Amino acid sequence: MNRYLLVLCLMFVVLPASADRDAVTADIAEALTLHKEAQAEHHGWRITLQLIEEAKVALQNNQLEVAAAAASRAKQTAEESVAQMKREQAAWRTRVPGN
Amino acid sequence: MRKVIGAVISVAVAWLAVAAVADPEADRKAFREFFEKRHPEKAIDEHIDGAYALNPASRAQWLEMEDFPPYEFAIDDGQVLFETPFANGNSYADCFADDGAVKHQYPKYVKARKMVVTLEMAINDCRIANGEAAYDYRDESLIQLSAYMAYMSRDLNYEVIVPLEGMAAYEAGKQYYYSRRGQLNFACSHCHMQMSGMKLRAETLSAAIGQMTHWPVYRLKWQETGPLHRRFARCNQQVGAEDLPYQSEAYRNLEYFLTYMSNEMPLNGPATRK
Repeated sequence: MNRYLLVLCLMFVVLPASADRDAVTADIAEALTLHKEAQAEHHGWRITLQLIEEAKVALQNNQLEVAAAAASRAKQTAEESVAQMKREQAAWRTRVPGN
Repeated sequence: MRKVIGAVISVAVAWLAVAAVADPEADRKAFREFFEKRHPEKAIDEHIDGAYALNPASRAQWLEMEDFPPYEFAIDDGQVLFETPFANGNSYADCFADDGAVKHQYPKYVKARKMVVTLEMAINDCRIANGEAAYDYRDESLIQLSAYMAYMSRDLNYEVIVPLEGMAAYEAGKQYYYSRRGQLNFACSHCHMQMSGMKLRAETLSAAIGQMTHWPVYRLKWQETGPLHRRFARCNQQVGAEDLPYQSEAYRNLEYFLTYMSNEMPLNGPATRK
């Protein structure tokens, strides 16, 4: 009986941690994909790679909260850089004198 | 066969679209007029001195520094390199006419290579053609050679040419210049057109026109003479954008566009900057 209880307790402790780890890994991968999309058009942001690196290091050190926060921010900045890239494909012309 | 014809037609349409939109001379005229209106107290050619054309106090200090300019060593070392024969007996003078006074013609679009070639690339091409290894684009010797050639080209006016085939490269450089980049969401034009003459912390922002005339530059911050693409990279970093390798296609196209905007202005490199 005690053994079952112990397994049950461990599941509560281990499973959420594992789920978080997967979510962070997915966020890192998504951030990197988006960053590369922006980078291909010379719109990569320096902060995105810094945050990705921060998330990876935190993940290695089992600091899941730190890793999750960094990965989430990395995804956000990567999304912003892609949005900038798409916006600028037309917007740059408005800044040319004489246009 | 249909695929080939389709591809040829697509390329031709794209090429014609670029040719139809781009008019470098109209761009240059509008560019000059922009700065004539923005800084009416300055003759256009005065902008070859960058921020020192716009800030009298900084200009006075800079002129004093010019009595013993720190880039002189780079010129002297560059001259020695320029005159030293390669192992095959040839020298740089066999590649570059007029003792190297050719900087006013660079960058140029080389049709056979379908790319913009900068002076630094041309120096390396010369070395390779004569059996020598190409320099790394950060190599001190390459910077010294370009400093010497810039010095030899002083007072010549820029005469960069954009042939029809080079129009796409020119447009790419122009797009790069006017596009917002990085986390700060700034285009090059924000600092050096819309805000030229204004202060960024303690520094006066120089006007974009004439910015290409004085490279390479001895920067007090660097404590050495460095190339234009080093400055491009730093500008990218300052707005939170990823910088590109020296002599990358995007930087060469950017140099091509910006230098064309400075056409007919006299060269005054190398120079000293903060």
